[in-house]
Amino acid sequence: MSDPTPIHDGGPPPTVGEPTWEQVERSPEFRELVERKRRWVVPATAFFLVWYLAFILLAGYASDFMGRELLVDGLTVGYVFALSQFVMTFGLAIAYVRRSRDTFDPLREQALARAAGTLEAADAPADARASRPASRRTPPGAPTTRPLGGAR
Amino acid sequence: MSPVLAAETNGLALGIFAVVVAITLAITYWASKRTTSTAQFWAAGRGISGVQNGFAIAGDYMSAASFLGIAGLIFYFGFDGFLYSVGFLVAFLTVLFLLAEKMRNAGKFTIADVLAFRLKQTPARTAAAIGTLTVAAFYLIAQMVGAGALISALVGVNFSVAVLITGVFMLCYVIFGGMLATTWVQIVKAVLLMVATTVLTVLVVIKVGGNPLNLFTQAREHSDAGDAYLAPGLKYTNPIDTVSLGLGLVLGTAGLPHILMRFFTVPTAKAARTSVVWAIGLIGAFYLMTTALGFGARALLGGTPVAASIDPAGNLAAPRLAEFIGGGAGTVGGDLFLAIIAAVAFATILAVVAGLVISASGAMAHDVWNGIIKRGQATEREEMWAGRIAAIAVGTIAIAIAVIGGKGLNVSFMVGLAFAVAASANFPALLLALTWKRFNTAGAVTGVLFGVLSAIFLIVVSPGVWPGADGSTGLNDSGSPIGWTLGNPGIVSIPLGFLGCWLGTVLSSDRSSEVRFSELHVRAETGLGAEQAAAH
Repeated sequence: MSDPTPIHDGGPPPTVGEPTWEQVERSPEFRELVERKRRWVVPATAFFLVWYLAFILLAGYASDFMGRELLVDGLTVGYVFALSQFVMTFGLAIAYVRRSRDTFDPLREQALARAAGTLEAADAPADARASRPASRRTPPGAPTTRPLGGAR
Repeated sequence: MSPVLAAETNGLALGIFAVVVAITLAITYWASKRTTSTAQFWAAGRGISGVQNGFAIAGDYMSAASFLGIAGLIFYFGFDGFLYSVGFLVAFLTVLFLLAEKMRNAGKFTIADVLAFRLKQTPARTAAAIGTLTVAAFYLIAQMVGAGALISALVGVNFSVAVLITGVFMLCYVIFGGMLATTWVQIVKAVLLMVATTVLTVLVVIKVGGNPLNLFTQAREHSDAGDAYLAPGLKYTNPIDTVSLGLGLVLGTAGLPHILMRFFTVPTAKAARTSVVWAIGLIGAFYLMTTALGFGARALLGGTPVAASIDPAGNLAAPRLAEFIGGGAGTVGGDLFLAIIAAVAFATILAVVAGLVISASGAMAHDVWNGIIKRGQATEREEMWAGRIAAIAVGTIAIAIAVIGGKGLNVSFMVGLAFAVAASANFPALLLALTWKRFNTAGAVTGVLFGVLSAIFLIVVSPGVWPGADGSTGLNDSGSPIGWTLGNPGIVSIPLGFLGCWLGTVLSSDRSSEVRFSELHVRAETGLGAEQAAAH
């Protein structure tokens, strides 16, 4: 395992009581966020890949079936299957946005509150909390974005 | 019906071109006043809203190849032409679920910023730059050749002149207006393209009797293939190759540097998420409509003398359809519709190539020059100048290759290569860097090399490059020196890319990349410590 990295990485040394990245990562709020997200994203990804591959495989191996007429003249099984991919894409995208808004975003807020050291701050504006750790470790007068990468 | 376009059409098309160009140059002038920092130059100050970025992604993504090319493929091959559209759209679920928000939180300007977050700077940035430049260069050359062929066919100017004009405007946007100008050119293009396609689709549906189902029945009537026109199998006869193509499309989009770079232009991960959903809505609607245009061109033009004037690639199917809807060749309405479609196609090309140039320029100036050579010590001013010089270099090389190679360059070969490398090299490395703690520098380098080299090798020996004796690229008559029958390498090269990432990682004892995984993980999921939007 690695040494704990202070959350102020690249900035002034951490003050006493500030959580490290590892502590945030191990916090129950963050773990729940990651776990809940995984439980949604992994099956959703598997579903759309399987549905899409089924379409491609049938197009490749079962052109007779895909060319069969469905319900009305001119509409084939293949075309309806293709349209179902559009419906699936729209549907899953909207479902993901809703799930993010209702479940993931509130959990993220709690994880951020934990990172800021005060879970009680959960009802403060999200932006203020999100930017607080970043601005605290930035020296006065420096740009609000710290150089990532190249300098390391 | 005239085989070449009438002189007055040239004038009309050029007039509308001039209006489009004037709008984009005005945007560039406005953007140039605001482009004073690297965050502005590479990421439009992260001040693009989610909805705006959704339009810009759509504008960045929907190339002339998908506008005119897919309509043409459907015109010739019916159902099989539709396969591309489905893959291009579903691909955005990969982007939305696996990368968009994490990229926004973890990165700064380029793919390499995400890859190099916890890996060793020089090798990680080199690997990312190789992946980015390979994809951007091949895609850019393909777009430039397509632009030259298309504009010369639609407006009647010389191929080389058309390439040069496209190249000069593309460089203007990027050099003077950076990502801000590129973004707004893409937004304007997306609006123009959506409006033009919608109007044309509605008119086509009215023309076939108001019932969209008539598109299918009338297209079938006017196709020599009959019932087979509405079933798979007219173009893709090798099922494994079809699956390979599908995999490349659905995972390749999540490795396209010019698309991923767009996520750094929004202020938050939430805006990145919103932008993908808008892009999905726009792109999905667009591909549904191009299908209507393809079937409509078959239904209305099939069997008529106009059909004979459509090029073998099918790029002229939609323009000829527009001309027909407007009243036919030689009529005022026909000329006007053709000129509008030509101008929209021109705007489409400009927006895509500008996005490609800025992503290639980012890889060269931000990653290779500043990140590796200058060890991140260059000033913002220096990095912006390096970006401009890199854009000129990339643009000039692409223009030169397109002009020298001419129409003979194999465009589908280059687009196929771009998507294959994106899916086999960029996507595995990015996904594992963000999600697999053990992943290390050796894994990233091996994975990118495996992905790039296997994709290039399999395309170089593919039947598309070595057509059989009769010129076909079918299953059994490939002229490939090693008897390779797949035109699309994805089914082999994507697993090889992942395998390379895994092998390189486990064969190396390097564990230094795990030290900062917690930071990357927390940052990618929560946005804590992520790059903030620049103050305006």
